[in-house]
Amino acid sequence: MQESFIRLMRARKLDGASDVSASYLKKVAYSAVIDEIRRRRRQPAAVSSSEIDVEATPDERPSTTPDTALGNAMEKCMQRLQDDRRQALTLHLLGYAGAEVARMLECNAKRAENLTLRGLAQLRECLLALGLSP
Amino acid sequence: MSPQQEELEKLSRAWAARDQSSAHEQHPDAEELYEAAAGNLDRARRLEIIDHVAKCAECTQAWRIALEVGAREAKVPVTQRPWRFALAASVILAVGLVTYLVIPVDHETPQYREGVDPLAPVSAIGSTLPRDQFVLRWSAGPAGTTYLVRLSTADLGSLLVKSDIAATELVVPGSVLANVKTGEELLWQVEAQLPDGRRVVSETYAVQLE
Repeated sequence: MQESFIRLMRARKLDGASDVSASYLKKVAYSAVIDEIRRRRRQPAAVSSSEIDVEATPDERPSTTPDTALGNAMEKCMQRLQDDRRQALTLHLLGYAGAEVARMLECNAKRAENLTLRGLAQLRECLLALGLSP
Repeated sequence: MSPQQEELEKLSRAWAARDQSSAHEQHPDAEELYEAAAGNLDRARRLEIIDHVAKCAECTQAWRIALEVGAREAKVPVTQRPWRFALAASVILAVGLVTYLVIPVDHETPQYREGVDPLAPVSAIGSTLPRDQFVLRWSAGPAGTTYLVRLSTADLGSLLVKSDIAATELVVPGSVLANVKTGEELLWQVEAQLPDGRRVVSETYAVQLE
């Protein structure tokens, strides 16, 4: 929060404006939060030697959830798609509706829908080949 | 819910839950991610970032957060508001995000507040105050409300935090302002503890020391 405040104050001073749009300030706050989350993720977790289970083998590691396993497989399958299909499907999975996908890809709505549906069909086939179904 | 919607929901949930990333390039910075989510970058860069998100679980999460905080609406021109109002709203947003993402409390959907509560205290002073009569005043809440006041320098050095104030004013002792130069701008904020237990925070106000 402190970092957000400082960035906002700096932004205000740099812009030299008394009025700054709310959306701009929201973006600055968002950036500060994401940067902080990334910084924390990159910090190595401190683990004392007594907490390390030297007997543990890879097979004893906690297994991933079904959603995580499906998600990881999806990522592999997505990389096999054509670029435009992968981009349309990525936006679709992120929650963008057809018209928004079209706007983001700068194509017409019909093409965006086709790219999404074809990408989705290929994704299903790939997952089935891996023994997974959505 | 139709089978197609069910499938999409399941895929979207799995997509968000993945924990492996095949991205080897550097992550786009947060500001660019936000702009991409809003559709504001040039097409080539936007597509590069979408391609990165397709193979990076961490940036997928960051993109989703951008959408949750309203990046989609960022393309629509917004009404210009006084910067202090926006500052307060942004700080509330940042606190909400940090609470949700950094402190592992629970996984309920976060509720973000936009703007300031109508019961939030409002400043009742002008833009300047004399050093020997530095009295912060604000509007009263419902009977039984108590207040907490924070006063800081413009670079956020804390000068004073006073809680359990029953009155709607606070006389700031001269000793608190001893190291503040005349003409310097200070920031202050009031948090009201309402009788029903809710806490509402005012906008952040600036006042210049005369």
